[in-house]
Amino acid sequence: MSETTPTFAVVGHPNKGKSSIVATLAQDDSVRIAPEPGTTRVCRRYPMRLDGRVQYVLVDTPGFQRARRALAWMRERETRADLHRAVVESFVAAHRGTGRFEDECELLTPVLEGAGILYVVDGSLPYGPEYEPEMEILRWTGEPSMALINPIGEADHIESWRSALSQYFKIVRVFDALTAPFEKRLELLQGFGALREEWRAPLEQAVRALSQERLQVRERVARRIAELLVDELTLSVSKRLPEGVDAREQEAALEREYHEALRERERKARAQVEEDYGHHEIERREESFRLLDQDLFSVEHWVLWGLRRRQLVATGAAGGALVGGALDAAVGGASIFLGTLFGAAAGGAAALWSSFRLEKARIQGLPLGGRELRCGPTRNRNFPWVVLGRALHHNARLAGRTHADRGALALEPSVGPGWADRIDRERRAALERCFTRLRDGDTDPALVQDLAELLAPIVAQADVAPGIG
Amino acid sequence: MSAEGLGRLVDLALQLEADAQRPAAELRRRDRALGRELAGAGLRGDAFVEAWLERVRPPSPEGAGSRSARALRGLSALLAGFGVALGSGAAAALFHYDGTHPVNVVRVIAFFVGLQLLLLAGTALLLLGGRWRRFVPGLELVQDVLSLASPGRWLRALHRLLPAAQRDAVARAGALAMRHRRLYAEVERWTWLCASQLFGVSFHVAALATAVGLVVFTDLAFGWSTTLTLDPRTLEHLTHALSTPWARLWPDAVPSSELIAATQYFRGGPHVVRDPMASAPWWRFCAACMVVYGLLPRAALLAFGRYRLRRAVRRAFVRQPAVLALRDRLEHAVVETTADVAEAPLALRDTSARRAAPTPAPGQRCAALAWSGFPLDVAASCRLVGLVAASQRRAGEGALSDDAAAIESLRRSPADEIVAVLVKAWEPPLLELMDFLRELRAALGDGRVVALVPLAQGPDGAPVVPGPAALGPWRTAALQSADPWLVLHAPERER
Repeated sequence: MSETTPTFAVVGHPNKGKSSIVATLAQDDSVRIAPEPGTTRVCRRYPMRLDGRVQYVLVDTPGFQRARRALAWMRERETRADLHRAVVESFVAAHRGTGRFEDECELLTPVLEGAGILYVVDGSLPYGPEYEPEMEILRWTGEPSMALINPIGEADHIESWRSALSQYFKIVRVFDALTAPFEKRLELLQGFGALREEWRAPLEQAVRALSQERLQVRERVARRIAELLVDELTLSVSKRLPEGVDAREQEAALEREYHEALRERERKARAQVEEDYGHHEIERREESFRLLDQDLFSVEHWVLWGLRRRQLVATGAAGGALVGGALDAAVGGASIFLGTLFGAAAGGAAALWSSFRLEKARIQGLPLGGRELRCGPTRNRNFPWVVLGRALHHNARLAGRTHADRGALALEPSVGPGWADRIDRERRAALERCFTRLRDGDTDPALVQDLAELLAPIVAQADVAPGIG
Repeated sequence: MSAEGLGRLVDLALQLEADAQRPAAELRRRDRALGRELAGAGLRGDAFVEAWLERVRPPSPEGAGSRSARALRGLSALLAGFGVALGSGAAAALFHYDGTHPVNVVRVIAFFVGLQLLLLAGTALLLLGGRWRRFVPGLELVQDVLSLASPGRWLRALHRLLPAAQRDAVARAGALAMRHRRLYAEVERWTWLCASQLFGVSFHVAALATAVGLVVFTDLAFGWSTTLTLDPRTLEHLTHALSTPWARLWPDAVPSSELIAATQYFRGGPHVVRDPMASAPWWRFCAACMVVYGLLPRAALLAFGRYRLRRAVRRAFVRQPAVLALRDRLEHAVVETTADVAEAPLALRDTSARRAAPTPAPGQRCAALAWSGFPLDVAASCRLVGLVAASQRRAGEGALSDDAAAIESLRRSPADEIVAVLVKAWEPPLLELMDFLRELRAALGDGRVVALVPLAQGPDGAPVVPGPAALGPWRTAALQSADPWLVLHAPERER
């Protein structure tokens, strides 16, 4: 880290959202965010590295605990304004390691080392004069500073805060660490460049890198979803049936095994997508994912996530028409396109009839004798859309989630059937063609890439996903 | 596709498998460093992946890939040898002439044309993809049965003849293909097809060589014989039809009607072959049949199989999902934003053994103290929590000497009054307050109750009892205090 590496100390009263801001900006959900004050006792550094080179550093600090007493100590020694910083330095030197003013020494150290000050307050709580001593101490350090109003609760005291803070800080910004969209986070980072001219360029480079990384994350997610679809649509489980064994007894167990294997693949893909977004802690909160934990095989669920009936009929009819058309072509058109007509009708009806259930296990003979019970791969036309809908919703919830948000992912009120309408017709048809290739047993390893390329724009446009509209 | 290419694919698959077990951050750092180095060398696209593999798993004679390649070459040699042996044997049997019974052209046609066309049809059936299986009932079963008879499948049996190290390599590669069946299914399929066609080509080359050898180095007599009532004209039509591909290029290899008529024989007849020398032109027809219906289709299929195998290996090498992820790691900068070190564990003081202080009775008189800019009406606040404020003071704001004055004043207040410290419930309990409470206890001495009263502000500015979330930190602070006469006084909120 060079001397000009922009460093920002996030300081303030305890429990005013310092750690939330750090968690959101550093995209780190390991940051402890607790209702008890004083859980941050030592500074924790969050360097932003681009290919190993530090672009800027965020420092999470403990909150002021004895600001009034600390300021009193400093005022006793104050001589002139040009010596304010020296007094703060002597305060830290005098109290470090003594057990007195432990938090103040810890939080002032990075500031005295040249870090820019990001002073955080909670804009949902009323302003109080007890904040003034700490703002005064920060002013005495002489370092460039910015105040961030982080409205944690619902009440609005932003204006009174703004008017108080503007007496101590040149720049005052409102930033909701819990809900800030990605672009707002970048905007804030870029804004830090206003604190010191030489920090502007590295911060702009960092912002560009973060934007690029976000694009990569979306492509990664598109690939994960494509892999999930391929896995789910090609999965089959089988069991050899010994002579004399009643197949019906084995059927239910094999179907359960098949369903569990499908669920497991979805769980694994979700964990990977969460990892891609840097959410490592969500797994422990999986039970809170009420929406996403709904059973993959419940009929209500399929109505919610799958295609509309008319879309199902359309996709089935298109497939049927293709087969019928081939027959028409084979007889040189003598069938006056009856093949296409009947094929489309049969395909549409079959798609609708089979749309809300997965196939049962089936028995098949083996080439060298004996019987085998097999479940999957599914040929259900709705199933890939159900899997895709769930995956896109999961992605959209994560894309909009900050790393300070420790709540459960919840179902948006606008979730409903027909989400796929928001995917353009050509792309939907292309996706359906990929699903058909998979159903036909196409083993081309490039199929994942083909699917991922189709999905990438949908993933990037998170508002296409069900529930985000 | 060379065996080395397949060997490198084995190396790639093993490396990707091993990488899947490693932490993502570690992989990103390693691959990005390699990616920058390789990009500096001017490498792009597919060459990137190959160069990456060179770095992370350099080819080594003892590596799994090299062993697999050697094993594959060994198996191919065995299969080719097997084909040569069978082809020579078949030709020797079909072209056998001991001076009694001539070489029966009908048998040669049946074996080198009829059977070959049947086998080619079987191969064509095996090549049909998933869409055909969906539309042609029973095709899947037929393919399963046919694939069992494919010489490519004999590789599994033949691999037992290999040295132990190569046998292990084959087993490992086989297990790898099984674990990632979808990714390497095409490679496996075309490897088998190539092996089958290699066998076929070896078989036909050996058969042709044997037949030509017998023609050159021995004297053969040809004839045709069948139990079926076969008119020579019918055979003529058949042989002419079969000769169509070479009729213009090699007219001598088209049997004439005279030859056909002259060379029909019956084993029981007195003169099996009337003029052995006159029957000799049949060999050209037989050789042409062997080339056109046996060798050429197999050679063409071998070339096609090799092309498809090369394509399948290439696609598996550069377009499988794990390689796409690898290219992402190689080509894009590593952006890290999280903390360098893990968060230190939270050390909370054990409060289980702490004695509970007596709760103030309703109507209890108190000496009230508003702490740190407490903005609410003090008397109303005390009333709200069932206390009667006998006196009021302020501390925690302004000069520190004011705090000392407030403590002194409280010390002098009537001992039957408790001390009520009114605090803003929306602010956290700071150490500054805890310091003050400690100094207050020192001044008051043991036994006198100090009640900590956190209150919230209602919409009309009046005090209200806070909710449990706001009370939580205050409750913890009171419990963690060493003062046994300090109590959190927060009556239940009315619903």
